[in-house]
Amino acid sequence: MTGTAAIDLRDLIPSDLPDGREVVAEGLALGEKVDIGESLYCKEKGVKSEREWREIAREKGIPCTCMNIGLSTWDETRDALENIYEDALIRGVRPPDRFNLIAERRMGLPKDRRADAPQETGPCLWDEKDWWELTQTVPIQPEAADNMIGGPGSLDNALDALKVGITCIGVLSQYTWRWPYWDDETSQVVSVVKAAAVLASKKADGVVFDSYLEDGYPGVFHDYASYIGWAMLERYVAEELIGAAYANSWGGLTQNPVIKSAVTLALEEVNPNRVPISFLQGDTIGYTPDLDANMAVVANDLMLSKMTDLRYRLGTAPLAVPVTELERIPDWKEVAQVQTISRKCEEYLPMLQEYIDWGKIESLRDRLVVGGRQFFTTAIKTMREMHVDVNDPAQVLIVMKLLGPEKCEELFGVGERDDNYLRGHKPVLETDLVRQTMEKRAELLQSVSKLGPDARLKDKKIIVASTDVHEFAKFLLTSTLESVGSNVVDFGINRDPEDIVKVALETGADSIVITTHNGVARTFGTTLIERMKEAGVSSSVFMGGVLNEDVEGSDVPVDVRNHLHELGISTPESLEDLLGALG
Amino acid sequence: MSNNLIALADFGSTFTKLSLVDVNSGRLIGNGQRPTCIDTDVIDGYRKTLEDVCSTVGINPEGIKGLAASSAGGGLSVAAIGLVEDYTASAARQAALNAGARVQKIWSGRLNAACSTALNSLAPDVMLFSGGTDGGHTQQVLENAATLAGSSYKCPVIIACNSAAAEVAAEIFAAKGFEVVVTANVLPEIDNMNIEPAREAINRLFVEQVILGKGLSNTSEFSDKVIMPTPEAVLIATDLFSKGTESSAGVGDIMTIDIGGATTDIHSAKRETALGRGLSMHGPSYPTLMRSVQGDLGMRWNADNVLKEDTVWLEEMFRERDLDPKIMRDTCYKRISDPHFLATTNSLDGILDQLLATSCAALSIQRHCGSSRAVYVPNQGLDIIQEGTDFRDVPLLVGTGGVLIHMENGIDALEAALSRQGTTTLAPKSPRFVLDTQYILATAGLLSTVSPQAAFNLMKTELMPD
Repeated sequence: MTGTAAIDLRDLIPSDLPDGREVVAEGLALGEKVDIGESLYCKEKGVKSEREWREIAREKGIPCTCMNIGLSTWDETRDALENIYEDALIRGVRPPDRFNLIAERRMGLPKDRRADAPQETGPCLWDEKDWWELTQTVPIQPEAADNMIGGPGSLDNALDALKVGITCIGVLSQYTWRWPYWDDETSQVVSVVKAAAVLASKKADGVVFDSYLEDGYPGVFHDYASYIGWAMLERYVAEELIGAAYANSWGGLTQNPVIKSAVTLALEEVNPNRVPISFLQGDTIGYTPDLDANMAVVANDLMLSKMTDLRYRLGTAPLAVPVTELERIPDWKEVAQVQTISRKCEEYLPMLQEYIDWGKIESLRDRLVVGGRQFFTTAIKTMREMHVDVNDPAQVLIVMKLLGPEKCEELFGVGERDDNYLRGHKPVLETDLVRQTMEKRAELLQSVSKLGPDARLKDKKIIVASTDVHEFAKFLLTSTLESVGSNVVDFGINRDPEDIVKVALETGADSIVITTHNGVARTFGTTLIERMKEAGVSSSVFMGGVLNEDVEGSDVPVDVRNHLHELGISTPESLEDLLGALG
Repeated sequence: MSNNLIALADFGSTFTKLSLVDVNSGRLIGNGQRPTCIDTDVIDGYRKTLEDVCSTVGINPEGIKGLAASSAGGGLSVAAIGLVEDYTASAARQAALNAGARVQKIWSGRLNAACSTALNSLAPDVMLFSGGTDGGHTQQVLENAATLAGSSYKCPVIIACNSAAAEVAAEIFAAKGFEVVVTANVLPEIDNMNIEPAREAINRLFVEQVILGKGLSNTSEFSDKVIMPTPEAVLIATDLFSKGTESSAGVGDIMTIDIGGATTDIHSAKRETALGRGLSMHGPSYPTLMRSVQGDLGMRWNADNVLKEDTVWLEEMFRERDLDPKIMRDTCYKRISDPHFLATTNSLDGILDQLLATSCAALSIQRHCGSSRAVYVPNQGLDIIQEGTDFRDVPLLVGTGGVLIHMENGIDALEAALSRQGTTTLAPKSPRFVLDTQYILATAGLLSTVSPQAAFNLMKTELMPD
């Protein structure tokens, strides 16, 4: 094989990007001057860092647990922590070991910019006292997680966190996020690399750089093998290029406990320094509005995670998700409730553990590891071919961001070519995200076939295209239209109006169906109709997806359906409506 | 005695070349060349060269059958018409190129009176008319037909448009006195070209009409012998060498480059492979067999053009050798005025020929091969787009053409041409290089009409003997 893309990414890397190795050196020097504070948790356990305790706990078979906390303000959050701790003591169970602080988004900005940015929901830490209270309120160890490292405020947060004795700081995968009103890629990546280097300077003290995979690109991957490869890529940047101790965390989008166990074990396989996996996020996609049913979801999710943890001495911390998680921000009682369930599960682990077919899980793990290693190798090779300096952490991070998640998985992913799958390749292990889409597709096809055959749609020439990278909607559209016998031209993603008109003209298309999710609906529609008029194309036009666009003077994008209707573009609400209108 | 021998000739624009081949084994007996007798009768060049070769080998030329290809007099000129530039017009253009024609003009969109007037000055030998996929657009296609049919200029028209409109389009042209041939659509579906039928139709017209019309010869011997345009011969040979025969495995994908006095032609056989991971294809896929001709890049007639197209690199090369770039211009003009000029090795001319050959090859290869580009969409990610064919894996590059063959190291020029390709051009990465010193390709193409196996053997022996 020739390899893949023959492009030179040096053209796209910002010209003001400094050499990442120099940034690392600056961060290391900065970190030398930092004193790590002592948290109540570490004091209680008699250790210097959370990592140190985890390594002791896994040898001794002591299960650790994790929770997410982030109420509207820090004061409320702090009170909740106290209540949860007390509640555990009252019940006579070991309190949770750690919590992820889900801070307000403004925390991702540099300190001096936070006050000016619009307020959102969640705790914001304004002064030393707020930070200090994180680690000195109760003996539950915080991770500085959401909106800490990843944005342009990474360095500020890393320094503040270390000072109060937080020894696990994240989230590398959030580097691919964008913060409102911040467009400067260079300063963002420099802040992340420098912050990571500060953590690297404290590696010997047990400080860990965490990354919750689903916050980054793996959240939209189609193959769990890609998760493993992505983790390897992040570890390569964090450990080999910057020198920090890198930990994964993952799990929120996975329902099947067996898959969860296998992927966790695969992540451990590619963890050569055995940095304990920070936490295992509980399943969130299995939840429904039926809170009672959700109890079973959380229990099942925890059982196999905890068994895997103990048997393989991972030293991780399964995170119990409150059953109300999808309805609202859970209150402290709801957090305490599932923590209690978690501790109770521990009593059952020894009874069941030896009856699980671990061999099967290990086989799955092995296939994932093979795929993951291939993903990583391909990633490095491809980046080199694109003239990226793969020894420069800033370049590698920028390139990962530029490519985008779909492109990364397409370029680096493994699996044999198979057009039955989206992205054209058969995954080693399909993610639950894909499974759900395929299930939705099957449901749609079934409900469409119930409508009965529609002679008007048979052999109709229909062009389907997406204005952006969203493939699922386009996939559902082409599948449905093909199933009713239409002659579909799948024109792909990221298409311009001009290109669509060229094809519509040559093929004499009856209809053009556009799916759009990137806030360009009005401009796209206007240009499309103009070009169609110029070329004499009279196909009917339908648009669906997210039909809004940013307009001047408005903070939020504006619904543009009326404008589209004025242009003569229809915007059916559902697939059924679309089929009716196409005929 | 001479029954098993065949004379295979190529009437080039500069030289007439002739090879004597054993038609059963494909063994090359002898060959030779003379300047093409463009001012008198081109058949003289054939007869005299045949005499030369036979006397060298020691046989009687009488009774030896012959076949010939021709590109003398500029070959066949075609005006290609389509509906959209990137789609049907591109397909029509490719069909004409593959047929060995010179594409004078490509029209697309809504044609107007200016186009039908322009036909008079262009005076193409043939019009190749396309537009719309099968069952696709009709109205504009027929309007375009009416516009062109209104011209006072008449020539044969090949209709290769939307099958639903083909009959009516043909009637429109026929009613106005045009000779019409209807063939399959060059772009039946939006993604794939189907240019073979149009290519065959052009070739037939070439042989039937053009050969006689160019005034190259007064003899029936010439019209009897010439069965195809030279580029067709090379394309057939390329195809055969790539695919092989029932008894001989082909060499796989292949690219041949002919750096001539006036033009640089590239022929390639590249079987379709799956699109690389992460790439989106823009525009239709090109056929397995492709020809491109750079009418502005040649070693003699067009030396000054080459200088214009590649000024920066050529001047840099001259400076590196401590030569005055001004001298370059003079030596280029010398070539234009004396196209038969042969440079002596190690002379200034030899150096310039080496550099010019590299320029011709580098630019032609870049234009022939597909390319990829990255488009960054903020908040969306990178779109990596491929247009045209990916030739990176092609294992064999064959160079030919008088100057390339006679220079000190023609392969160096080809290697240099490849190493100059940018990252985004999908040119062969590390092929094996071979020089077709005996002009075997055109010869083999002609021979294949009599015996494909002999033709394959000939190519194998002369190009890749190991």
